[in-house]
Amino acid sequence: MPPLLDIQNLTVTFDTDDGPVTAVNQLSLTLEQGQILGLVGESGCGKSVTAMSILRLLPQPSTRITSGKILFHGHDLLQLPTAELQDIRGSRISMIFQEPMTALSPLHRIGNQLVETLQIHRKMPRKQAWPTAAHWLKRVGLPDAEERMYAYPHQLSGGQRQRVMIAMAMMLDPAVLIADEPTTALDVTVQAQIFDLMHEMHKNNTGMLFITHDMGAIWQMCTHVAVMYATEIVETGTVQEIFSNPQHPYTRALLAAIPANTAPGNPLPAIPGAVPSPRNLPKGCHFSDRCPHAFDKCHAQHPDLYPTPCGQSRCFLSEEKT
Amino acid sequence: MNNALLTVQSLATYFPVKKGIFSRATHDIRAVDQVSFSIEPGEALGLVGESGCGKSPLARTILMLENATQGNMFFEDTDLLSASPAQLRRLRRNMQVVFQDPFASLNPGMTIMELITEGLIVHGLIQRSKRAEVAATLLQEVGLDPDMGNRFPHEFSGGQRQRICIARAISTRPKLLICDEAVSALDVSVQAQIMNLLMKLRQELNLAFLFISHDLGVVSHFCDRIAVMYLGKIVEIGSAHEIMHNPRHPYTKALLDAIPKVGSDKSERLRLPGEIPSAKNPPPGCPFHPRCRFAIDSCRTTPPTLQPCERNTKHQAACHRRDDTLQ
Ligand SMILES: Nc1ncnc2c1ncn2[C@@H]1O[C@H](COP(=O)(O)OP(=O)(O)O)[C@@H](O)[C@H]1O
Ligand SMILES: [Mg+2]
Repeated sequence: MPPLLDIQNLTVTFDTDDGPVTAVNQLSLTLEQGQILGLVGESGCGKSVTAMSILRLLPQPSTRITSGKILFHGHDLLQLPTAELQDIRGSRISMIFQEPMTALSPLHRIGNQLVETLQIHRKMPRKQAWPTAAHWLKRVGLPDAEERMYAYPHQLSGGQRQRVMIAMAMMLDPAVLIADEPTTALDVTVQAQIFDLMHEMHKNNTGMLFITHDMGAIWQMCTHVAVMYATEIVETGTVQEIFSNPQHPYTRALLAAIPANTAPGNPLPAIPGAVPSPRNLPKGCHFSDRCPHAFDKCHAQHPDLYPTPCGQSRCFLSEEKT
Repeated sequence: MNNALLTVQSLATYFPVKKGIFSRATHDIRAVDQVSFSIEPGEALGLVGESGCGKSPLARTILMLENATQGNMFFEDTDLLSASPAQLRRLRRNMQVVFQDPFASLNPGMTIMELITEGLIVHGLIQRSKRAEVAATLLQEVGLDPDMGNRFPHEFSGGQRQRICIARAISTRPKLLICDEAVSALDVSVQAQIMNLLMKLRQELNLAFLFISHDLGVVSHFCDRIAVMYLGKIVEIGSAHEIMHNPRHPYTKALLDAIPKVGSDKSERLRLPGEIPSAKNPPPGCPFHPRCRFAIDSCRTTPPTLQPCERNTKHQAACHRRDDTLQ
């Protein structure tokens, strides 16, 4: 069976006042049926730009996708006529964001927004759509769901708005859910409830691309992981493998920096320096200037992705092992 | 006489809620409700709880940025609520703060040198002519290049700006540093650097901390003791080890259980049902009872107060069933 979503060599460049900046570089990812693929990395590494590229939501005309394909059921989403893409958006591929306000209209009642979605994507008559929408709001645990159908988005809390977004995604039963830091702004107990709902969607056969900066959330949610650093993928693998046997020094450093992995009160193994800006990437390996294992070659040459026991790693140490 | 640095007794901060433009306040939001604790010199007390539970209003009340509705606060022997303006000014240099958002708390028009030595000038602790020299020392203390004094905040990354805020906060050599979500917006690698810096400064300067964060992992790494807040009240307080490994309040347990920990069992997690009720009309009895699996009749009627757990006076929980082994 072909993968659900197959991103091949995606490169995204922004035209800015200071010239072009490449935010995502030659990125390839595959999401197979039944997977929850985590995309993890620190802020600015290109996670959101990757996610927004899939549904072509990046600002035009300042964005240029300079290379790559994004195949969904064999069709390249990047080449699809706008009308066909509109059809896929929402109904086959849904997306939820960190701040659900960006996706909800502030001027329309929650109920009307859900009903309209059902009318457009499921051709459901309004009379039937209203109770269906209310049913889904109840399903995602929104208190007083029937009443909340009449509420405007600003009358709900952040957690409640995210539930509305998930209800909207769940009721359309999409093939793919792209979730970009859906719980970053929420409290942990609310996050746990949202994760449960996402797991439920997964059981109903929705494949997921789950974006986060939190390794704990990856552990909890995902089957597979891709680690991103400074515009590119540096390591991929199964969750089991990446956490028990990380290959790339950046992955190892990210895991080591979590406070729970150091005895209380002791200095944390912090990564020296800062994440480089995509305008100013080091020559050679992007991580070379912060890497405790870097040798001459790392500073001079850019590493490819090399095979590891169950994935890939963009590190010359992994090249030596193969 | 006690030797605590900060003592807070039955502190309450209410915010009036107005209905309509002309009507008088109808009821209050009890943002901070009957809170008592103390911090010893050099000690780090963590304050955790979910958004809206009252962590920041508590910090702001201690910093005298909000008016206390009731209660007492002492810094060493000075009564903060009846102190003269001159006394308060002297106290300010002993009690400094670092907020979550270094972008908002740094005046963009001032140079780094001006920003981090402003407090020293205001308190008359150094002469203007010494500014550059002192700034260079402070920058070095927080791990920044001592030559950056003439640059402006916008030239720095989030992590560096937080270092600048820390340099400013420690400039007056305070005895207490209040950190309100100071590392929460930072990426893990930067967060680890800033935590290390705070731990280093704590040792070097014998600083005490009120360390506020929604992240129990960060708090338990940094703090000696932890207080857990829910709906304006402290519901549990104890050593970091006790809170993390022997929590007695069902809310603390739920909070610990909700953190996605690497390596934890993915299937066996308890879910906290429902949502935090509004502080406008908190439930009667124990404020947590509508969400609590262990609630019994007395929980619905009698508000529990902080009481020792298993006769350990240093570990207290506001739960009628705190010592119940079934829980
Ligand atoms: N519309 C835009 N115009 C110019 N640069 C952008 C735009 N959107 C994102 N970027 C840049 O692209 C890089 C990657 O950003 P993003 O994908 O949002 O990171 P994250 O991994 O935190 O989601 C960043 O350097 C960001 O500043
Ligand atoms: Mg992002």
